[in-house]
Amino acid sequence: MAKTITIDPVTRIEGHSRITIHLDEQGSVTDAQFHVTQFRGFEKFTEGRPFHEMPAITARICGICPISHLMASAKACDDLLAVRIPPAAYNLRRILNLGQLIQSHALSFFHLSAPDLLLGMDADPAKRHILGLAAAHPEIAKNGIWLRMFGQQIIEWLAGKRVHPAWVVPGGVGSPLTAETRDRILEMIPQGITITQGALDLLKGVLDQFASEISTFANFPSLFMGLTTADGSLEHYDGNLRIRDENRDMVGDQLDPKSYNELIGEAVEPYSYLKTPYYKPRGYPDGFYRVGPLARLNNCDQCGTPLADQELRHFRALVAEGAVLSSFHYHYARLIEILYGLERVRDLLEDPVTSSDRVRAQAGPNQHEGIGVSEAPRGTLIHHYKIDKDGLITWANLIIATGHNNMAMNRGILQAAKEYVRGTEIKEGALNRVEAVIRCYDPCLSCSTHALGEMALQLQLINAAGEVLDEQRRD
Amino acid sequence: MSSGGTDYTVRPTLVLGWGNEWRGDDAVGRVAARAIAAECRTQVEVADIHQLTPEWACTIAAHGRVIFLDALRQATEVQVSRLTASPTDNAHTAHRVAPDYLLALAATCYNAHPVAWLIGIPVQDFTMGAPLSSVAQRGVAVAVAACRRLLPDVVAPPIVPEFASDESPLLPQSTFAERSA
Repeated sequence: MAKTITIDPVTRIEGHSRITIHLDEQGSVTDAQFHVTQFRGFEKFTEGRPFHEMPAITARICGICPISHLMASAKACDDLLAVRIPPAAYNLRRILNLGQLIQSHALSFFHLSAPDLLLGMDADPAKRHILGLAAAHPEIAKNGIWLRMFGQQIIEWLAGKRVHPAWVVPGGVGSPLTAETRDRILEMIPQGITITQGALDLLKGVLDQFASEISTFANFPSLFMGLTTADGSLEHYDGNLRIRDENRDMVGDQLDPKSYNELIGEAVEPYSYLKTPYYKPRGYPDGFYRVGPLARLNNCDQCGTPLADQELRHFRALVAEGAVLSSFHYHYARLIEILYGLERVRDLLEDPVTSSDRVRAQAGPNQHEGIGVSEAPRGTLIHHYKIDKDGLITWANLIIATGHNNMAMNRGILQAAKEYVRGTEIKEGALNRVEAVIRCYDPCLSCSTHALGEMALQLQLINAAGEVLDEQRRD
Repeated sequence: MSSGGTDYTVRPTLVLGWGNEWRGDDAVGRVAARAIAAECRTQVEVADIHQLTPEWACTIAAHGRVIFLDALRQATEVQVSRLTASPTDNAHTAHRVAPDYLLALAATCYNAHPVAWLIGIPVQDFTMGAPLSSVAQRGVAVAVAACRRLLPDVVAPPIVPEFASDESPLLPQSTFAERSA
């Protein structure tokens, strides 16, 4: 007889997270933890599904970065098919991926972080959001909306819709590029570049006001991981893994992403559903690393496009030598990546190969295991599937960008808490700064635990006896 | 972008339905939006989308009136309510936003103030992969009728009094009073 298992009430599925800050008997901060308290389990419930459904299913992990999951999943499926996709499809996937990078980074910078940067960390929380920003700086808010809309428009024009398109398929993409779409996107790129350069000038102009935050927002040595091309350029769709340390010394280069299992271990902490990846050769927890825009820019030798490379030189000059270590500069790196994305999309659209009609390789499954790795806006994304003889998924493993940064986020909030939390009460400015450390990473909790939701936050202050002294919430 | 929401005879109407089509009745707003698209030819733009996100503020700002369509839990009848541009409790996030938040963003960024309604459609079943329940299907028909009456070629000022009846199941008196004013 069929059984229905009902979980009721279903709680904590809205992206909730919690931060706890632990104090010793003298009231000094001794520890801080970032708890992600949601769970959905995509890896488990996709078992038994036909492999070709995986791009569409796993894209549903997220409404902000579904394209990232489409990319990694489709690449894993290409691996199962054992095909090389047509060059036009390769370019079109890259454009789509960059469209998402543009919209996601624009959302993070303008919508979520610009209120802190332009209104101030201590501004009235009732106004410290995009509406407050729009009231004070309407042109900046409009620019943010425009840039985000442009990224979404690239996705819609290429793939049919902005969220959860089904255009990226195993073996390639669903349809070729039309001349109309190419020209429409190309026409809008100059305005995108102007807006992004303006945002970069704006950010560089206020950095001096955030010296304290720059020095305490997850500003510590770590490894940095991301994809690069064969010549060490910035890469988001393909390429090999590179790992550098805090001195920008090479720890590993041109590492085959399909050997990720030899590079990355996943620890589990009892306080969070978010796993904690680490670099295996250095063990846990010493092998902690960061991914995402900051890591990618620390890793690459050059972006590979003129305007972004010009900005990269300024970025490198933030420090006398070595890698840029403060996670505050994720914001800066994000804007440079938008600039890169706009330039690269233009290059790809102007490449005649991109307009070819041949966009899909046809094949059935030719091997039982497939791995796809790409760079999501937040960092390296890994999809790994195993299938049976009928092409049904028997096992899946997803390592998500936000997850890679878990240890860095935990250490970051500890560093910020030690700087800003005093006594037994949480002051609003301190709460916001601890939150802002997390915001630097632009974490997607729905992705990282494969759950649904947003980033509501609860912050607790706990004394040596385990008693909650103070609590602040943002629901 | 010009301001004001009264010039709906010139600027078009936007009908915006949203929801997740994989989750049963959650798709009801989108189904209703598509039904309206099939019926209405004049001065109406229709979008059926997965979720509301901030960039929709720009599109909303280009319209004289906006009709949002969404699933409504714990209701037995279709509910039509006027919306105002007021920030809601999700101003701190961006993954998905509420209609009145988008109206506030349109007002603040573009000085645009379209007249806006939310049509809530009763729902019952959010099972993955399920079709619309009978409750939701009935709601779609009622919502489409309600939406049709809000469209400019039908709801132009001369016939607005038809909605004045206390017997109307679709528009609460306060809504009509607001519109009459």
